[in-house]
Amino acid sequence: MIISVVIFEIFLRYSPFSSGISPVVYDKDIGMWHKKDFSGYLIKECYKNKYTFDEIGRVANSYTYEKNKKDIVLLGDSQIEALMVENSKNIHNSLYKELDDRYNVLNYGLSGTGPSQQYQILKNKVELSNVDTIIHFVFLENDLNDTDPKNFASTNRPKVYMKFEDLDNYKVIKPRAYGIKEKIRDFLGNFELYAYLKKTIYYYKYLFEKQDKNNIKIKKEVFQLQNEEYKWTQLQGSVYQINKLTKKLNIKYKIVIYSTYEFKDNYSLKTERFEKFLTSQSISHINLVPFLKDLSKTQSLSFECDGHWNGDTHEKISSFMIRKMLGNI
Amino acid sequence: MLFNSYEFIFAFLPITFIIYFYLNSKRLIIGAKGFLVFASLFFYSWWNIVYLPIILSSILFNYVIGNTLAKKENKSSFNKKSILIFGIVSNLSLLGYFKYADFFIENFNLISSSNIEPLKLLLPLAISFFTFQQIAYLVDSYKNETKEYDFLNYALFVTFFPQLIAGPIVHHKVMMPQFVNKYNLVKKYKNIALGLFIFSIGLFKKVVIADTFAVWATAGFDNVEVLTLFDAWATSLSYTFQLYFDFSGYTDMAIGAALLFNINLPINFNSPYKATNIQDFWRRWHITLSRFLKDYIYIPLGGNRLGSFRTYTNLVATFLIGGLWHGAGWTFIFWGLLHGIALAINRAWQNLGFRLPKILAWFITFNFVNISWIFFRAKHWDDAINVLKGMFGFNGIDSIEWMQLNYIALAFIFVLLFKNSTKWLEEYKKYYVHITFGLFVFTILQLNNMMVSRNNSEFLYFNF
Repeated sequence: MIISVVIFEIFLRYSPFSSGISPVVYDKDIGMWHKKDFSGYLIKECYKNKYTFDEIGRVANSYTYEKNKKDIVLLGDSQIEALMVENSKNIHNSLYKELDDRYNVLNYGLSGTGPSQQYQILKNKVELSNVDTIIHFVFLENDLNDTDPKNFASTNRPKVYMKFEDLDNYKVIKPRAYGIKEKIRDFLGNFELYAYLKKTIYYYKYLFEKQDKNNIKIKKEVFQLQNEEYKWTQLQGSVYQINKLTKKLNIKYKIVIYSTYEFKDNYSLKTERFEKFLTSQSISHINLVPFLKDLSKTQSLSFECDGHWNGDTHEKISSFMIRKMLGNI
Repeated sequence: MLFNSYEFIFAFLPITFIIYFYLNSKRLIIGAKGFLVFASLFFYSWWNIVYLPIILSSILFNYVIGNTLAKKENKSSFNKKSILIFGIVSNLSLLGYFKYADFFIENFNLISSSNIEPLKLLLPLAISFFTFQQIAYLVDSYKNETKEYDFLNYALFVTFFPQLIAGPIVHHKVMMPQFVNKYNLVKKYKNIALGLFIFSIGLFKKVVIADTFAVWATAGFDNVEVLTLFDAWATSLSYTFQLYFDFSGYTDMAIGAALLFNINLPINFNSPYKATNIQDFWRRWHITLSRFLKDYIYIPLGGNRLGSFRTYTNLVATFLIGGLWHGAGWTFIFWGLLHGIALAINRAWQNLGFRLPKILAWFITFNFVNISWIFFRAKHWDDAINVLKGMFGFNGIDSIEWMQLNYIALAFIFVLLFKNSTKWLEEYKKYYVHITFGLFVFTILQLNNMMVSRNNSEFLYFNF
């Protein structure tokens, strides 16, 4: 039995069925963070890409970091982390080129995070003393949902989150302790079998949930209605706190907004509400949707199998950001 | 129901096994056989129950015709030959209607510039297999080589689930005595061990090896527009190995499942890629089909009894029919033609007394088989030409995918240097039980992987 499992792990690693091994480990501040000095493959039906993390656990730069230059820090989720994108095209490396090497552009994107985790990354992982600008990518629907701890599945990695009463008052809920479950998870995370087990768990969970589809749908809708305002408070609270911190440190803070609803269905109420909030806080921002809609007429924007932007889109977004947002820095 | 599905492995097979032997242990022999026929029809209907009346009518029809032919004194007003011709024509008409009608319509439209709507019929599963099996039965009944079997045994001969969908194409002479043998009605632990062993090998071949090559073969044939030299060779070799491990895996599983019921199915593969000439290849590849083509087409056409020229034309004609049997398409017919011509050349070569060094003979045979599979696999001519152009360097040279290359190298080692599963079965040792368990665990892990990745695949020969 054990021999079969060991051989199966080897087979997974060296076969077209490889999913790659987990890129993250437990982190006491964030809940999870990239493995340091680590390189691996992210593999799906439509891509197979080698990614690398540096000594801090950031997505690696394709250039050499220079201490005499100021830093631009990117915050965001998997769309910015972009492990599926060729490293030289990843948004931070594209921006570095677009800015003619005048700044170090650092990618602190982390998959599965929302603004409150990104705030904690900023506080705990970023060397703020050398930062000139923070560019925060907010993906409205994802980030609204990610603010609610009830949406964190028990099978997922632990996460820190901030519970806001209002913009000023919040409580930081630390990630669960590094117990036996997390130790096992970190151990298994070194193997293909971890991704295999996760896939299996999700598959069967979905299979059994499907049995009671209607019930779940109703529950979900009610849950969403009850939590809509709560989610906005959490999202705005995190952005407000990042803005407060950056102001104190004299760092520029800019937000890039993207909304799936607006992109797909022209439903822009959420974007408008968020933009209104940012304007009221005097936070510089741009909306990516009109640009991406135009771009989609000439090129494919994302990978078919999971909707993440492809390398060309990363490069085009970088040029767009330079034109619309970063031209004067 | 697929042999490589959870429902077959963990539900259908064990439940059928337990009930069948339980009924036999209670001396309900007819009931046990009836149950096995019922279970086999359930297995058959799992995909689509609309196929069920077709196979049932076919069984009933052929049983009646076969029994009429087998009777020594023919009281009917028709002579035996007319009844045989009626039986064969009816079987071929059924096959022709479901399998070849649209092919005929498409070609008729092309030639006559007419616009007849294709029928778009669903091809009943296994129709090619059970039709051929029953034509053989009719011919043998005509020759008085069959006995008067009862209907239940006959129905079991046609529907017995291990061989029903994709063979081996079994002969009544081999099967019927086994179904009536009372010693086969009790559980035999040796057969259970052997059956599980070969079933596990087959499952491993299919799920682990064939489905791994399927990833590359599908990508090359269906998803890449221009294949460069190495890609094209890797694609064609991937399919060559996929097909072998898929089909021989299926056969191993069929043999294993049948052994659990104390039934020995004939072997279908004997290391075909070790063949050193094309005749040798067809004695090793899909052996039961080759035997059928030889006994029921090649020999009735005159075989080699009518001089060299007729021998060659008979070989080509037999393999044209063989190609058409595999599928209603010009690529299949062309594949059959290639093999027919190759067999004719091989025959002429032998008649002239030429001999090639063994390695060179293997090299030529393997490459011929590999290249001809391209036509067998390609959905359209253009796909086949695309791969061939790549293989002969017309699309340039690009880098090699090392993982694929390693797998191909491993597959060569497996098929050329290792014993095949039949040999393993013949030399079964007690400790193989550990190999059975290890293979089974490994394969179930990968089967689960395929399922959760929504990648579960059918056996290639189900298409035929």
